[in-house]
Amino acid sequence: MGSITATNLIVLIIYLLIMVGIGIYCRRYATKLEGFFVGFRNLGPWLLAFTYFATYYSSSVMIGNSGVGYKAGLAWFFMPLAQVLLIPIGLLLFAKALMNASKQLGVITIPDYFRARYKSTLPSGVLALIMVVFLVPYMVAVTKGGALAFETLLGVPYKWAVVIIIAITAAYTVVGGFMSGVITDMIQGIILLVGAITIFIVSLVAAGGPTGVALKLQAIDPNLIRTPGTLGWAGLLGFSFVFGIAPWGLPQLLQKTLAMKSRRVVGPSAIVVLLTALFILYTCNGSGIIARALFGNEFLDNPDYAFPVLVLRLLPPFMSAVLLTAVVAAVMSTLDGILLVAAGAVSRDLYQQIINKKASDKSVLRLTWIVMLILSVITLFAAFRPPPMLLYLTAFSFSLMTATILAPMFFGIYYKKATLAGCVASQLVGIAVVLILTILKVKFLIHPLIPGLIAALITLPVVSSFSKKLPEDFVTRIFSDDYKRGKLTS
Amino acid sequence: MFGTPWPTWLGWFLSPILTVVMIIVVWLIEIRRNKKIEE
Repeated sequence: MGSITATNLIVLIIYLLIMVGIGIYCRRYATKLEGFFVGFRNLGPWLLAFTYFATYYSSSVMIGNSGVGYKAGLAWFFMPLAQVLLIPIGLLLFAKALMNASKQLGVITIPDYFRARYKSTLPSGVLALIMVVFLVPYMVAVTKGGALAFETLLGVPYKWAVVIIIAITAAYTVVGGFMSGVITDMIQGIILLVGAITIFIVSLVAAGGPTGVALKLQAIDPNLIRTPGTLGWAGLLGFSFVFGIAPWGLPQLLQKTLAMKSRRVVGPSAIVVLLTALFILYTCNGSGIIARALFGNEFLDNPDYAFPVLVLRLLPPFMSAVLLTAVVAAVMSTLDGILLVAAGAVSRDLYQQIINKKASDKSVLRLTWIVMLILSVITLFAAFRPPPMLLYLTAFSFSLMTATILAPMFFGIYYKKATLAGCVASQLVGIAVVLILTILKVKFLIHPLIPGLIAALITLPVVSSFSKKLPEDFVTRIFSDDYKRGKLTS
Repeated sequence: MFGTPWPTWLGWFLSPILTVVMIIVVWLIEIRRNKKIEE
């Protein structure tokens, strides 16, 4: 559809060189194991907010969300509702406790938090295994989405697009670790926002403003201006809720909060994340809706083309090059975060904490690089020939991780009596419920995640009430005011 | 508004309104918590 132009190439190459340059610059942070996973634990509000935002929203927000908007019409503006409510609440609930655990218990990954809080490698091992198995399909899905957009917008063959995306992301993440991910996320997040806002404004003007969009949609199909429209309330609010609650349990997002500079970072960064989420969802969802008004039913069989076609038809060459870069940036900013936590699950949580407890930090760091490269190669070949039902698998992996993480983390922070048995039982029940409901294709109104989460949240306090308690002095210490104020060290 | 039925245009404004409410809530909670801890 698109073709390679000099402008596209120059903008893209400059962007890719900047990313690699940042990786090399961040080498200084990544020479030790802790630095590789949490930098110097000095993230301020802007860096935290943008890395959180850019890691969560991948190319699927531009391509997928606008695609659903194209099909569903104006009702799709309801979708951001749960996200603007739940994302800041999630940060307020968990960020400070994870930061404290990182600074005072030496926690450097999310499974590591489970090990430190429940004094066992069993829950961290369960989580690490789930992460390794189910983060890879997610990386494949993200890469596939980005490479397809790359191909559509630039005319680069799909396989070359996959190679470029993975090679550059792996290069700067392996070299610069966590901090290179954070700094590139800041730049990628800004490009993503600028791109999305630009195309939204340009297309809104082209469609004759809000009234013009509504009139055109009504002429195509009156359902497109009704709410809940074709999605129905269950579909609309279900989508909204699942994407709002998912960040509470995604390890690649929680990992960022381990590196916060101080507790004062949480409030301002929650506000920035809230605003960026609102802007990206409104502009991307809106662009898809406007594309329907402009192009009618032309892409009804393949609504994922709505966003790329808007870009190609409405923007001048330089701006379409920026938009192309925005899509690539969205992919890379998500991919780098996942690559880091998936590799950490293998090297830190499975190898150093379970398989070889005597392994030095240096050898674990070396192993992390190797695992990152292996995962990149697996993702590369899998993305060449993506397995069927990839989106289905991705949604399933999101649900499984959230159902495994959320309850033990919530009770680990707020419930003194939470026990190891309670933690593991809640993980297993959460996994089992999501697994069974997904296989049986049972839906309780919305999504298997919801019953899985509820079951895990009930199981933990119930099992904790009759199982062996954790050492009294340890629990007293991690619930003390001094610990919460960061005055205790291990 | 803009030629759309009320549940639709209400939907456009709900998320921005909720965003403003959440900004105020986060601000108030954080100021109170941090003050309490500093005391």
